Amino acid sequence: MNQPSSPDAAAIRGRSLLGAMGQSLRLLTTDSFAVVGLAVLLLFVVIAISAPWIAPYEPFKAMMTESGRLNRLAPPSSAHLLGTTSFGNDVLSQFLHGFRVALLVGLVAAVAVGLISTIFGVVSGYFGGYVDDVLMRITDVALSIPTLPFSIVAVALLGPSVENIILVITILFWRNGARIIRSAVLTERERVYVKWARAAGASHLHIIMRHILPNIVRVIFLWVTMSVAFAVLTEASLSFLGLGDPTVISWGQMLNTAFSSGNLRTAWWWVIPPSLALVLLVSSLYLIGRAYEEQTNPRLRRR
Amino acid sequence: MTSTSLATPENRTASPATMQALATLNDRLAAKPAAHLRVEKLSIAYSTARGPFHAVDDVSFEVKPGTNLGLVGESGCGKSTVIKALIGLQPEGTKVSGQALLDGQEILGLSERALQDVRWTKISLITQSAMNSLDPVYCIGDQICEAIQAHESVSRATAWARAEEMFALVGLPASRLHDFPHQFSGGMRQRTVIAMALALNAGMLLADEPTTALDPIMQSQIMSRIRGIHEHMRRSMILVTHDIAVVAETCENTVVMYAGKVAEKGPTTDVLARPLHPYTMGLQNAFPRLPVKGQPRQALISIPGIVPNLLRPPPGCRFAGRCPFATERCHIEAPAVTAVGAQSAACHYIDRAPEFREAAARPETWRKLGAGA
Amino acid sequence: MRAYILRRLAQSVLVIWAVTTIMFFMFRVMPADPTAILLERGLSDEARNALLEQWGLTGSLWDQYVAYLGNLLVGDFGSSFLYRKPVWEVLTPLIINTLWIAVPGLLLGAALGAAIGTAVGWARRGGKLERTGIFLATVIRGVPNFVIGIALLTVFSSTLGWFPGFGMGDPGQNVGFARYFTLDFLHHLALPLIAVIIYFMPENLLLMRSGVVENRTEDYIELVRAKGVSQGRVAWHAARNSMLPLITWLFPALAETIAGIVVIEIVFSWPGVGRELVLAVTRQDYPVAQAAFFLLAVMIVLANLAADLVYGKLDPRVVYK
Repeated sequence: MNQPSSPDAAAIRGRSLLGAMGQSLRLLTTDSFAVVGLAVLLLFVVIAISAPWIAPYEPFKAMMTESGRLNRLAPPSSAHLLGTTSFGNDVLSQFLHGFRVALLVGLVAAVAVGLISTIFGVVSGYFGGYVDDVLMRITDVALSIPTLPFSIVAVALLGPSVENIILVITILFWRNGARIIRSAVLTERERVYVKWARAAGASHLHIIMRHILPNIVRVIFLWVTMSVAFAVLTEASLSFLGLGDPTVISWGQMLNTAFSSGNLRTAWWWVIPPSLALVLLVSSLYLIGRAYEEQTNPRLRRR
Repeated sequence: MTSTSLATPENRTASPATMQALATLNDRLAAKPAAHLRVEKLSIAYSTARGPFHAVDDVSFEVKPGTNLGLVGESGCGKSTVIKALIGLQPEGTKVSGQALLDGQEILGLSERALQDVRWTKISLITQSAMNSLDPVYCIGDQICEAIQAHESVSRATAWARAEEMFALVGLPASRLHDFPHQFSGGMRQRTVIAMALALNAGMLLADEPTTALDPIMQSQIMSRIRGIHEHMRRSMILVTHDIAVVAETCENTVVMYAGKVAEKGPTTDVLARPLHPYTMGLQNAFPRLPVKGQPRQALISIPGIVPNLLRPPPGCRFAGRCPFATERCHIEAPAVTAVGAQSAACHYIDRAPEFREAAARPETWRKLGAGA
Repeated sequence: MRAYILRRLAQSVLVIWAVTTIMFFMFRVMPADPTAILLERGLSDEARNALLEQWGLTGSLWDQYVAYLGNLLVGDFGSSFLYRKPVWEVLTPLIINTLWIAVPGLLLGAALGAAIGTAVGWARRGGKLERTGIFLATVIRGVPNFVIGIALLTVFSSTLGWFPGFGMGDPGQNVGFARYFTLDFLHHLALPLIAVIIYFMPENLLLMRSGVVENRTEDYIELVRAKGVSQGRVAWHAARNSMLPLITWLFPALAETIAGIVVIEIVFSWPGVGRELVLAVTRQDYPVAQAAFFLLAVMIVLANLAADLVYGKLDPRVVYK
């Protein structure tokens, strides 16, 4: 970037946060892998929203055969496109409802993580001093907590529910985000136009909203994207370990039931859909995250 | 040849180690003659997102064995591009055409494998930014040995001993071969890079602005070091610099490049005493000259304007936009190379050179242009 | 150097103290009665109180905390509610089992990832190898570790029948350390080990690739090329420099991955610390759960310390103060 030799009004005014967000999103469309990721993500959101209407049965309803017995472990048929579980539940219906939990946990946790890490990162990086010291000490300790074991213990103690899972994920992942955002803020704070803006009498809020945040939007987006992936993975792992919310149906839980009922090797129709959906969702998020990573690291750009 | 030619500000009294190094070096030097290089119609185009960038266009010159050729011009004139292409370091996707015959062997367009054999044994490089030219995680000695052992099957002990000789030659103590690059000053790193380039007695040395990254005192020390080595070892050499004064002191022949083309070339004394191209005249003005007794000190005059965009090179003379003597013809028609004795230049008005020289010495000639542009 | 290590050790102790404290309050403040599982077995109030006292669960929270820290200092984790024997006795063999899949798995995963990452980073920018490499690595990185486990289990155990899919095998006559050197054990080890490698490799690969891409345009690489050494040797210089950031990431990730191995242990019924943690949590056997959690936290702290020291060995520019 060329730095003009004298302060001008535009430089002091900064740029709008929304504009910067739009620009960052548009940049994604120049990366073909990220476009693939976005397309998958969009498809998943559409399925999640429409799940209750397109699911053929209630996810926990036990299916009966014509002879009145429980329709257990039926392979795919026209009545049950993805077969049934060992409890006679329709796999397709469970699978479709799984989209909701995955995206709900992923998005809510990521937004919470994004908000908290941004607030802590900006305050700590911009104002420094006491706040910064405390934050750094907290994250030093927090980074030594093993994530999955912590969530296992915490969810077991708090009780397995979607809210608690989201809470635990938020507690776990805000710390890395705060660190990353803090160092980005530290770089931005030293830029010439920030000093001009300050000299011109701009308030701290103005500087943060129009100079700091618009320039670290990509870093925040990167962290939020990764947080969605971590949250989805953590929820799936917990559910797979039997610590999921028993009142809702999630992919990890489907796999847990298949695994613990000993049907992993035979009931492929029960195992493949949730596995594949998890892989698709998390990989898409990583593909999007990777595009941000390439953009935030100037040394990775092609010359 | 005696070692007194190595007398430089730092080692006017050559240490015993240096003397010893020179003695063994002489034996090896005898085994490898200085190289001859003929470059014909060399053109280089980088591929960029906005189309080919013609960094070098139709450049020809010759380096006779044991001589030193100065390649001068402002930054962005394609000097370094020429050097990189000669040792095969152009970026991927770059188009290189023309010929470069090193002792009769074509060295352009060689495969990476074939290049490995040419590099360092026949042609070696003193890089531009010695600050970053050394791998930070290996000690200096290892990096010199790596070059030796890549080409000669000698033991590590032998290679290390050779590295010690090279260090003595550039005036660095052998004990510091165990140091890492970050423990060296800029000048020491530059000397390390020179020592490395000499390690295999390549017949042809390419020095790519070897002193730009250094402070002025260090610059003159390194240059006199290079001169001393050149005089003693009589390797062939191309010295790239933007400092015409350096060329005057060091090089037998000079090629002046402007915007990827040769503006003027010839024996250094002729080119500097009687420049034929207005660009050479302008370059001379831009550097301080030693004051001559009885004459007033000359003010430095820089050439106004910038080098043209080589994504779309202008049709006429590339210097026309900045030349105080340019006519309409200069903007339309590219000038052919005209020879005057051993000297030659690409200018339509080569006959009017004496008249131009006189005008070019006056600051207002260039200032007028600056105001008009 | 020694002063530096001492200071880092002191820091580590402080962090471990903080983690243990958090853990203590988590377990004690939560509304769950650790004796609940025992009460079901018809325990009298008297016997219950005796047990509570034995486990250090009587007195004020503060007294409990002090007693707990004191016990930790002498390495006493208490005894398991369920097994009725000291926690150490329960966990020691499990730690070894975990290390058996963790250490070789992580080392091989890192080495393989670094090697392929170098190749991908060295490939032509925007070329087929680079794009395929990045795409595959990113997708594999997105595969949850239990899905890796399930896939391996289904293909190589259930369908092809090449490997057993459950546990560590029958020790037979080989007890103690001898059991780890039987063919049967290695046969059982194969699949969980491969799962850890696949789980750990992609991130190493991507990091190494970024490092090599960053380094390949540096001036020193140009000089190495100019020296006329082989292509492989040039790539090695870029790789060697890229290892530095990889190391800083690798060690904390190593411990983090040991934590992630929990899931792989469950899938393959591998009797390790992670599996025991999950079992202990579901059985409310808190002393065991606490100790397992503590062990994992200590591993992370030690790994961070090791990362610092290894980094200093690999980068001559680092000076310990």
